Amino acid sequence: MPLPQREPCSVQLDIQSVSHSYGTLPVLDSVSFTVRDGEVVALIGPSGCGKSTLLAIVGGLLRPQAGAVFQEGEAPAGCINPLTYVFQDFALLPWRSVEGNIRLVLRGLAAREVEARIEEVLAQTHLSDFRRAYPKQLSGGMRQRVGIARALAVRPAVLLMDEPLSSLDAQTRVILLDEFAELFQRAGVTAVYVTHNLAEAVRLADRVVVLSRRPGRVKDVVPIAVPRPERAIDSPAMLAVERRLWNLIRDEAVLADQELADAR
Amino acid sequence: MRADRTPVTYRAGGFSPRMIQALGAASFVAVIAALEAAARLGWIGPLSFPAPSAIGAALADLYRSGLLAQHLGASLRRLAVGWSAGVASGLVIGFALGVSTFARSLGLPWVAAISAIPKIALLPLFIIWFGIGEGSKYATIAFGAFFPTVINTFGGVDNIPRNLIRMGQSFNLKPLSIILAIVLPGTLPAILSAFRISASIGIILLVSAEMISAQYGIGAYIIEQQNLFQLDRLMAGVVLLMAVGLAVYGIIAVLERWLLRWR
Repeated sequence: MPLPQREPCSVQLDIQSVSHSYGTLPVLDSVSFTVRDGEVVALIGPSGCGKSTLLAIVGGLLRPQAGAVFQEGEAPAGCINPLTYVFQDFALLPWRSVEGNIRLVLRGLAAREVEARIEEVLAQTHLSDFRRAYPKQLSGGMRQRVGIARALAVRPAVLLMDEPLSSLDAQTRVILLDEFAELFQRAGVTAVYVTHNLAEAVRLADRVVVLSRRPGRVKDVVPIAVPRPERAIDSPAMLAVERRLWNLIRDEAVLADQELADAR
Repeated sequence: MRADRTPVTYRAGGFSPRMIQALGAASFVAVIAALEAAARLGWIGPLSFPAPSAIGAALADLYRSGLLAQHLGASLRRLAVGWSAGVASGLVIGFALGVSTFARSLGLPWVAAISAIPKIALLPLFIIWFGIGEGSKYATIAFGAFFPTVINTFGGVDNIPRNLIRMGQSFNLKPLSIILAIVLPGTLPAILSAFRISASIGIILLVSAEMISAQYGIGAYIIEQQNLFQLDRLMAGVVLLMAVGLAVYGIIAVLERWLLRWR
């Protein structure tokens, strides 16, 4: 579901036949998909299927053994880091304040621009009152908001989000999920969103890439046709998509479990 | 037979020590008072252990004669110069071993081999190389401070969470920025503990070197008083060393509180 304010259908990321293995253990087998401008692609699959490995390859943090990832299209104005991560464990520097953590990634910009961007992203993530706080003084949810603020500050072309809600408690997760949904809709973010939580995928994504059990292959690509504003957690249309995804994953998870047992 | 209702007893106490400053200070006062009392009652003779008041008087004499400044000044200068040189070079080499495969492969075996030498054994060699004056003392203290700094620093670099470095790389930070903004502050706790270890090694080497050959310095003063069998003055020198040790400890504690306030 491309957003109206963006050029529809121009490709931002082209993942072509990416394969990878750790030693003799193959984890990804010829994975291909594209991410279009303004689109959120969720990546789901049973545990151990190589989701996070794939995201690391997409962002240039891991060299694939075969295949390649191509960046296309134009980066947004003021972009200083096209492919930008949001980490599961936040990856904040504990010795820097909230604003210090954001300032770190804005090197090379004029001082006035740095200040303007810090103010802007702190306002976007409701952190303006905490700019001088240190990470240890913040809750998990607020730490991840800093992670989001830091990522937005570089005006990324594509956000690469690696299970960004997984280390948060259940209530905080619901709150941040709402904020993500609102932010994605307002800002027209392009993102690859890795999760094992189907509700997150259904709520946030335009398309869901379902990976098979290890070695991960693309098993299906499921578009979420429900418009974002109508995506209430308990709407029947959403639940139907969630059930369809679960059916795809459950079989894989059961088989993965059996294979593990057979191997012993 | 158990009662129907028994209260659950708390069993998770202890194992979380705190520091009560007043208690530490009080123990100093108590030990000094006990020694003084023992001396005045004749339980301990002045040739075994002088009374604290006699040690205090010897310190006062030393101060009045102007020799205190000379001895203490000479020692502190040697410690400052030698320790700074050793720590500064240790930090550079420690970081190199921490971040570079080449430096680590080349340097680590040497560090392991040389750090096993008791550094005071090299003083005679350093006297031949750098002369009997200040040079050999600076070199010995620097050498002694160098190795614990290298080992702690490179261990500290190794212990920085990988994900923070990956974060820096994912935002395209230059290698130098990653070292200055992520590796260096992340290694600070290890560096401060290196300061502490290398300072106490430095004091040991300082006093040993001064005892072997020096006109001024706390070590020279202690040896001089031993030859004169002046136990009160000898102990005054030992008390000065305790004061230097406490001061170094205090300075590093202040540095720690200030530099690691984010913890």
